[in-house]
Amino acid sequence: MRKKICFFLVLLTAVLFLFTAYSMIWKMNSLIYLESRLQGPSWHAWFGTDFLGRDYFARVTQATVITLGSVFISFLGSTLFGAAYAWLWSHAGHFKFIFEQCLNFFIFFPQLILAFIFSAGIESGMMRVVGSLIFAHWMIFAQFFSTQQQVWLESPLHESAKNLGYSNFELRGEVFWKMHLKPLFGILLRTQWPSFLLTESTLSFLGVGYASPYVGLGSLLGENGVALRAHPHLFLFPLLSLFCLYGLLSWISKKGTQSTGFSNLRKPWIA
Amino acid sequence: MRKVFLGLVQFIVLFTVLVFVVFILVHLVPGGPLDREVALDPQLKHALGEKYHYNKGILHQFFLFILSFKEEGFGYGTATQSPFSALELSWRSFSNSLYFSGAVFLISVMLGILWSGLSLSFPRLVVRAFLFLSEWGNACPVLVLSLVCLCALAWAPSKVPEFFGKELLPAFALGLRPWSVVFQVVYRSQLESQKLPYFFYAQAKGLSPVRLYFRHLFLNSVLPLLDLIPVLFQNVMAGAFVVESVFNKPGIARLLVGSILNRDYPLFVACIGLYGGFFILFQSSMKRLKSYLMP
Repeated sequence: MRKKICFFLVLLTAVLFLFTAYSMIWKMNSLIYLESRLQGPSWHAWFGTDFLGRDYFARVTQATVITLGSVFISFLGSTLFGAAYAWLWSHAGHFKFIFEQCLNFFIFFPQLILAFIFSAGIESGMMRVVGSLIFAHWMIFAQFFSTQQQVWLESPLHESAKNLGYSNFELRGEVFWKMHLKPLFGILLRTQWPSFLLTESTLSFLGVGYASPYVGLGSLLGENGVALRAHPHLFLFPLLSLFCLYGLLSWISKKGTQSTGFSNLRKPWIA
Repeated sequence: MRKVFLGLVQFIVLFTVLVFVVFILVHLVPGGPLDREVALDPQLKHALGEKYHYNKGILHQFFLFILSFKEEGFGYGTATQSPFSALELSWRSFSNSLYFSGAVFLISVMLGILWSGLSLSFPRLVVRAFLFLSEWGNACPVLVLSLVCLCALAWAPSKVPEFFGKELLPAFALGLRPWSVVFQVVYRSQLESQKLPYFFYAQAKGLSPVRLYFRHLFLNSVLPLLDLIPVLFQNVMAGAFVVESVFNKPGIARLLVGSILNRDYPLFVACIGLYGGFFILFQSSMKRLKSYLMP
């Protein structure tokens, strides 16, 4: 119980911090003071200032919010796309093998390469990043939903529930969702966050993700890599932020898998 | 012979589908390589379009692209001023990446196996330290690790040899994870094997420790790696993208990102085709190898 309270407190604090900071310093972020450019961390500017004299704390917070936002939107998109694919697959009749082959074809590619393929097809911006993330992850969700459906249809519980007179809607909604899909989907939800985060940061870092003025943590790191020796704060603070965010999401995924009794489940991994 | 033929057919079909999907996808984007910020002269644009077949229909373009494979190696990059064809250029970069990631992967797997064997005779505290390092290496993503290594390189004294920054740190960033996984899997498997009755029996027979290890412990503990190796290698190849970009190493990452940003269609499709073709071959050969070793 204590662990759960701690977990929710940490999550609540993080969310409150992000949204308050985001809304408070949104205006501050766009202000350019050329006379105070490239200053180190101080009380006045916690993370220092960048090449245009903008407050770097505001920039990092904005980047964190944009990164987190794209992670959540892509997660939602992947879930919807995966569920739709699994539904179509289950109703494909004689053409099921096409769906299966298609999924197998995508699943053995590294996620980063899939993200690259998609990013070449969309012009820069949020659509490119979100689309790439969905394109790189949808098959995990499709496979998950399809497998769960198969397990459910073959289980004796399904047969007995049917014999008890449950309608098809009740079977799906009440029994299948609550007993089979919900706990496992909870695990998937928690364990995929770090993977989404890393793919987004890698894309932005390599220059095919967010482009200025909208920045993700990866783009901040990519832009300021050259200034590492002369102005380390421009590189270190986004790196620290990415590290903390990844740690937090991994911790949530670990706690999530433990609380549902899957303590041996490994964290997902991309490049 | 029949299996080889079927495998070849499967490879050709998958490769063509992959190239087709990528080709169509990149051509769906509004605009193209000839649409610049400063508009080109219409006559010049038309001439360039004729040369690179951009004026033709998309399916026509695809067939011309496939037909150019034999003579021109998927044509020439539109943005690069290179005398080499797109396929040759991407092969040069890809072979660099493959050489680097293959070497790192092999070394880390061998080190992992060696370390796990040696750990059986190490003191408990040292083994715990290695286990902690491997847990950490398993959890730390390549992107974060490479960036931390980059910081270390930036602040390292100038006397540090070039090899440290160009080879050792990238190899460490890329190889820590496969090493961690191999070390953990083999070490734990060895510990479990030591508790099995056949091991006690072999020990009671009075076999020498070396023979006992290699004959009854090593082979059994390495078997689980057969399933892991394809996944790990796939991760290492994908991680090489990040490491090459962070440490500015020559490889396919720079070429691929450049081709995306410059809208260089032939180069992009050649890079992805080469990469995908390699993965299709690698996966199918690993399947065959596994069915041969564990029928």
